Amino acid sequence: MDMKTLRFQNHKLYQRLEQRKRLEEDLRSRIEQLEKRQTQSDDVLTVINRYWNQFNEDIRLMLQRFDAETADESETRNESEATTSFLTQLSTWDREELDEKLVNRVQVSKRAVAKIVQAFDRLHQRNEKVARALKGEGMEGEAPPSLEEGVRELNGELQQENKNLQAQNLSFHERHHLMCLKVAELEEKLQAMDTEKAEMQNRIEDMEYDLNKTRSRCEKVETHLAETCQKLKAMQDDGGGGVGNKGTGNGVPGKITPAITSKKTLPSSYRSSLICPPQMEELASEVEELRELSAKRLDELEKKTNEHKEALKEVERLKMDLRQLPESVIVETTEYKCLQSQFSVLYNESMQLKTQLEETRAQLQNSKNAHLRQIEQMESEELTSQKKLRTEVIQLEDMQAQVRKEYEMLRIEFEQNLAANEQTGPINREMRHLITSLQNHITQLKGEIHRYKRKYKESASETSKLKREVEELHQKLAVRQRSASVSERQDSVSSDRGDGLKEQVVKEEGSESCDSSGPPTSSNQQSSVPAGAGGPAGEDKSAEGGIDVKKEEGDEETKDNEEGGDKKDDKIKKEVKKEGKEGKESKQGGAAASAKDTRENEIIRNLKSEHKKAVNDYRELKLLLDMYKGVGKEQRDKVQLMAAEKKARQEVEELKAQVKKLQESKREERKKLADEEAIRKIKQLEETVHQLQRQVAAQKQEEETLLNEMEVTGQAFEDMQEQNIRLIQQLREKDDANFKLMSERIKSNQIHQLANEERNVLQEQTNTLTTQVEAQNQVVRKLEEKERLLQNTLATVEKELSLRQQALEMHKRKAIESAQSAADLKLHLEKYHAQMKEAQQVVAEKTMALEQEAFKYRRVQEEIASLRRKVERAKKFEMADRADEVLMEEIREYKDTLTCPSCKVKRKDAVLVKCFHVFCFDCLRTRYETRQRKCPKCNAAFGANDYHRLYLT
Amino acid sequence: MSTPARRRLMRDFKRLQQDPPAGVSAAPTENNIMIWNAVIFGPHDTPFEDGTFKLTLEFTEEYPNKPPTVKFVSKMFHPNVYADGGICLDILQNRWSPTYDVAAILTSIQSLLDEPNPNSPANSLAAQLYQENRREYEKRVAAIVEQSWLNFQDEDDGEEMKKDT
Repeated sequence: MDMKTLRFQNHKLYQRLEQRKRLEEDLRSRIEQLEKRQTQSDDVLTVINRYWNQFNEDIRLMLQRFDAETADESETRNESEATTSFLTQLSTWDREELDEKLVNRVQVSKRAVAKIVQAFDRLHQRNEKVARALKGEGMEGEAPPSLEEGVRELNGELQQENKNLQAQNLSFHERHHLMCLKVAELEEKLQAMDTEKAEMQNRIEDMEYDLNKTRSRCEKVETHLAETCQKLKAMQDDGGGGVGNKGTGNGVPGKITPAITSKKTLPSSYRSSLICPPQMEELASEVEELRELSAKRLDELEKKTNEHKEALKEVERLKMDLRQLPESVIVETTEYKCLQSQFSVLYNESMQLKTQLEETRAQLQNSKNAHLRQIEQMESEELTSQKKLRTEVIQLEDMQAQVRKEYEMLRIEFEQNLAANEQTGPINREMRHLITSLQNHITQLKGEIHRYKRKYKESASETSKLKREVEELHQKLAVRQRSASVSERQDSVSSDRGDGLKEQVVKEEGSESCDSSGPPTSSNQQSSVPAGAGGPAGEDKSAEGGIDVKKEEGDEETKDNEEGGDKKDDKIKKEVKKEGKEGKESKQGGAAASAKDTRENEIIRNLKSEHKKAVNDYRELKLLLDMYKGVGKEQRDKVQLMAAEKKARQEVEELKAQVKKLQESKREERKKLADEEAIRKIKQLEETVHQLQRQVAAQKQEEETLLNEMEVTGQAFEDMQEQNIRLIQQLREKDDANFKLMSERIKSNQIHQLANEERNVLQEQTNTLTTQVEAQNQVVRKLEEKERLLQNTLATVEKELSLRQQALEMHKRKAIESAQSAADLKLHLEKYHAQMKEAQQVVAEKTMALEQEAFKYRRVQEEIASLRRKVERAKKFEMADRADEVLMEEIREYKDTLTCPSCKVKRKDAVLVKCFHVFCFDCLRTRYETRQRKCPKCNAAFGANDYHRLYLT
Repeated sequence: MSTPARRRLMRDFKRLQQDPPAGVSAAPTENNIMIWNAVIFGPHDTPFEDGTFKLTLEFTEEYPNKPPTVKFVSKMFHPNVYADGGICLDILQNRWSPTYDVAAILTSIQSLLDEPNPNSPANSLAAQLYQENRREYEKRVAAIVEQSWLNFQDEDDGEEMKKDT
């Protein structure tokens, strides 16, 4: 491979070398030309220099002649130096230096020229002076009168000269104008030429590039030609030398140099003569054909260029026509009409939009004004509401302050009241203590009353017993009455006496009855006297006992039990004793019992009456008791005590009366009875009377003490009650005060609550007002947002308007463009017509060309036939020589057809069912497994079931 | 050692030697058959004419089911060649088929030289010049071509020196 590349490169480098050589030669020739030019230019330069120097010298001479002062020595020196060594300096100077020197020189020469001009002017002035002097001299010399004439002549001359000068001036002006115009034209031309020059330079560059390319190609072609020539030579040699020289094909490069030299030196005709005649003929014919073809092509090209020019002209003409196209034509076109209608529609739309926009603007302004008014209203309302709020708030605050003050006042009052209450507290306590003590007292009294009640019950039970005894006595009386009738039954009755107390009582009563009945009955005196003696005593005693009992009952309620109890017991004992005595007396006087029945009956009646009285008393007492029960206990007690006292006094009086009666009866009896026993008995009775009197006295004392106590207690009670009432009144007053205070407090609390409620209400009001303010603020914000939105919409609407206007303009432009396009389309139509014609022409030409091509094709076919014949010949030659190689070649081709095109190693043994390309099975499997499931040949996708084994054998 | 890829490469090399294609030559390196060196001569009548461009081909074991990586070793100025020498060619990427062999790859690269695809540029400057300033493009290509000779000459000189020594 490297060898190949090296050979190739060698070849290329060789070609390059040749090119370089050629270039070198060209460059050398150019150098020579340039040298020649340089010499010429040097000559010219020296000539110029010489002339310049001469010119300078001339100027110097002139200056010296005119005015020696103006000449500069230094310049002359410089010039002399410059002249001497100009060329040498030229050769040594660089380009820039050269430019500088030249500039210097030019300046120097300019200065010299300027000086010359000055000198010339001065000379001219001098001349004039001289001329004037001459004239003056002349005038002076002639005559004074001629002076005026001379002046006139001079004036006329001067006027003429002036006219001439003016005319000349005019002519110069005209010329100047003309020149200016010419200059302008020339400048324009110059610019045009410059541009043309630039274009030409570009073209030249392009041409040079193309030329280079073509040259290189030419060279390549030449080299190829040379190679082919050599090959041909070799072939000819082979043809001459036979087949044996085939091996020398590789030795051809060795002969390249002579071949090239021959190519360079020899003309193509000479070369063609070297080629074999038949080939030469063929080539000649081909060349002729090519020439013909090229001629035809040239003709065609010329035709085409002509057509192109014509077409361009037509285009220009059409352009001109288009420029001068009348409007009527455009107006007539349908597109124009369509566009006009569209334009009108759009215009209407735009007008509508304008009106809409104006309306919207008006609306917007209205809304803005309304909005502003609303805002103002809102602000004013807000201000008023705020003011109101403030005033209300201030009022509320005042109210609150007042309420607070009131509240504080009330509180102070309340505190004072509380203090007063605290002061009244101990009095209350004392009162309570008093009340409690009184209550305790009352309870104690109640307990006493209970006790008395019990005692009363006991006494009642005793009275009931007594009643029973009375009944028994009645029964016994009845019995006695019976015994009186029988009289024998006295013994049994007397025997019965010793049994118990009751029988004794009955005897007492019996004795009593005897006593009561004693006096009236004289017959039964003796028997009845003892009985009667016993009777009054018994009576007294019994009366006393009854009184005692009643007293006791009364006392029981006022005084202690024990006293009553003791007295009772004493009385009972006494009774027992008396009864016992009476029983003895009755024993003695039992015999006369029968006579005494009538009296007994009377006694019984008396007893009964007494009993009735007692019962009545009892009932009264009971009623009293009930009454007392109904009335307050203390009063009751008091009343009871009073009643008992009265009763006791009455009884005492009664007893006194009885005692007097008894004393009277006693005296009477004493008078009547003189018996010892009776006296004894009287004595005893007197003793007993004394005792009883003593007892009475004691009882009276006791009564008095009791009365005193009662009075004391009543007074104390009344005091207590008074105190109680006073305390109660105080309590009530205090309670009232308390109530007042409480009510005041409640009122103050209520006021406070009301104030609080008002405060809350006011706070709520403030809150609601704040909320309202916020709501109004929100409303204001919303309105502002609305305003913004409206402004935005206004802006958008304005934008839309501007857009619409732009669109309108666009549409206008479009209309104009469409008018233009209509014109263009017209032109296009005409062009197309022209093109049609051209195309027809072209078709005609093409048909011509086709005919020519067909002719060529025939010729080419003939050539192919001839070449095939040649090939067959050659093959025959080859077949004859190396059939093996040909066969091997064929075998290789067949092998290739049988090997897998993918791996190019294995045999084909699998087919793709999708596209029916054949490969080896391994390749297809690997492609399937590596997911490159496409046919290597045609990229058709295949699946798992699309490749199958193929058995070619 | 005789994997399918290697067998295939051996067969490709044999085929190249038996039937060498025009303007292209390639050979595996001495010690590794999976890496090849190749030379492409610039095709006639193109700016690349007379150029000798060296390339390397690196094959994998998946060859021929996967394409080799081909790179220009010589400096290259071409719209479809990257600065590192990589080539943007469809048959070396997604249009690869296992039916292509080394000769096919090299001939297709050779044909790519004169028919670049400026729509998928790997060298934007080259693509721009190719589309807008053909003369400059050709100048640059001519410079590249001369550089390719110089490189080769240097290498050749080095080889000759070695031979001489």
